[in-house]
Amino acid sequence: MSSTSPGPLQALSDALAAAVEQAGRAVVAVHARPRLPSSGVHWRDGIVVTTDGTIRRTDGISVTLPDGRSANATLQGRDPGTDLAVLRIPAGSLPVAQLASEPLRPGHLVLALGRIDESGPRSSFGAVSSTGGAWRSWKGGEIDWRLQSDLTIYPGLGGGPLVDVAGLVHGVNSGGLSRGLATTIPVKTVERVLTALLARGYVARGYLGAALQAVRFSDAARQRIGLKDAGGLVVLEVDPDGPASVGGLMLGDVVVTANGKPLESPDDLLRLLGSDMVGRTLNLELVRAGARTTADLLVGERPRRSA
Amino acid sequence: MSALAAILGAQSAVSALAERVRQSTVELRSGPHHLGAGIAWGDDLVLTNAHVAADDRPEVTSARGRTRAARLIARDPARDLALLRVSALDLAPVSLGRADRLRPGMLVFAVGHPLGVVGALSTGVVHAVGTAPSRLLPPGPGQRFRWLQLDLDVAPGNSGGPVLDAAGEVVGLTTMISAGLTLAVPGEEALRWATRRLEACRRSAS
Repeated sequence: MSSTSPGPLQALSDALAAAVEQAGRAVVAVHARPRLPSSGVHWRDGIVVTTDGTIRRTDGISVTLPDGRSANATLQGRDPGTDLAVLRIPAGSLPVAQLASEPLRPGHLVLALGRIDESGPRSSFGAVSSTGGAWRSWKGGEIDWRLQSDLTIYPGLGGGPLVDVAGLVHGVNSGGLSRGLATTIPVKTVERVLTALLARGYVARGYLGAALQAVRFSDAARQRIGLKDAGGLVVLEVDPDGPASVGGLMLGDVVVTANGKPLESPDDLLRLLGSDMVGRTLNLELVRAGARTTADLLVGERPRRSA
Repeated sequence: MSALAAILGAQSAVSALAERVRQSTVELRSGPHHLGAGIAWGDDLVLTNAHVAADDRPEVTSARGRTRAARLIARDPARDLALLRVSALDLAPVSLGRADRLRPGMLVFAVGHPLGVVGALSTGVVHAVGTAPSRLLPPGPGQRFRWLQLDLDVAPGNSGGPVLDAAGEVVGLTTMISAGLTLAVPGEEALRWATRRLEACRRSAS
């Protein structure tokens, strides 16, 4: 093979290396756990995003920059639900990641990037396997878009970016959320969580203070009561000081809609309880003792477990 | 060049380089259950891993299917390299290239006999270059050496076989799997080791 005219294979290889080099300029090593460091993405100037699961201490965190220098980092906030954590480092330390605007589709070639020391960026290679709509992580956080690839998140690559062949960042790779396929927390979710974490250090979630379980009305009952859909959520428990109690919800009530949306499962209601709903009113339609009625609840903020 | 033409061109380049290096990749057996690979480095010389050449008279099978008993010239368990001489075998020698131009993300290919599948091709990329952090290496003498750290699927039977870059040069010798990564001895280090051992062998013979 002639070395004077690089063939298409050499061109592809060089393009992948260029993508790693380009995107790697905004990738740091995060030292916040014993033994192996993890990776982080310099998302905005002075702001590093990494995965919550790789942060094992809250003090004495440092990062290794692409030029080999070390910098102190402070934990700005973390959200276990979406497995994201945000660190502050001195501004102007390194370039900011270039974010992609076009979504990836199955078959697109992708690279996972990371850094664990001063020896340079690390990478793995694969293709997007599956994409889809919003989903809830097993840790309870709402992820706006499903993005899974067949590449390997090697030890230390967690918290690093998923990049395309142009070196543009499509999200943050989470070893903790990966099951079989490598899972990426997409740019949209990172932006949303980052905004909340920068504002108050955690992601607030709406709270009603009621335990609910899915039930279905029989056709006869549905027609007698005059319901459009058969699904609903029965109230099993009410926090005596919570919004549900204050709004008059009682044990045995069956909630059938919330803000006009039919409720088939508790997830349907959880989706309506994002941080933007805290302090706003949720209009419920419910069935009590065989008759339709309504209740307006002032959505509270879910109590946080004390650290 | 259109995108599709580029992909098709890259694809045929991969099969061409795999076919070419397959001619220079031998099978190595020491004992009934010990299959490994080796690189035909000279007309009668084979470079492989020390852990593949486990006894003094391993059997070498060329890509054309001829088998001969080889003689062990040199063996270094710490660097995990071994040099064998085997005569009257139709070897197609390759030269060992340099790995120091490799950068993370570059395409790499391995040829070997994973789990007994003779002449199989693996495709991947460079994960990192330089000394691997000790946390990613098994304890032992390998900790003090440079390794190519590759995001490349290999299996027992690949050991001792060649790693190629996108230009088709042999840039390393597949040696072990650690923390999921494939570790290979860099081509220039394998070449330096083999050349030195061969000279020592010639001096002692004269």
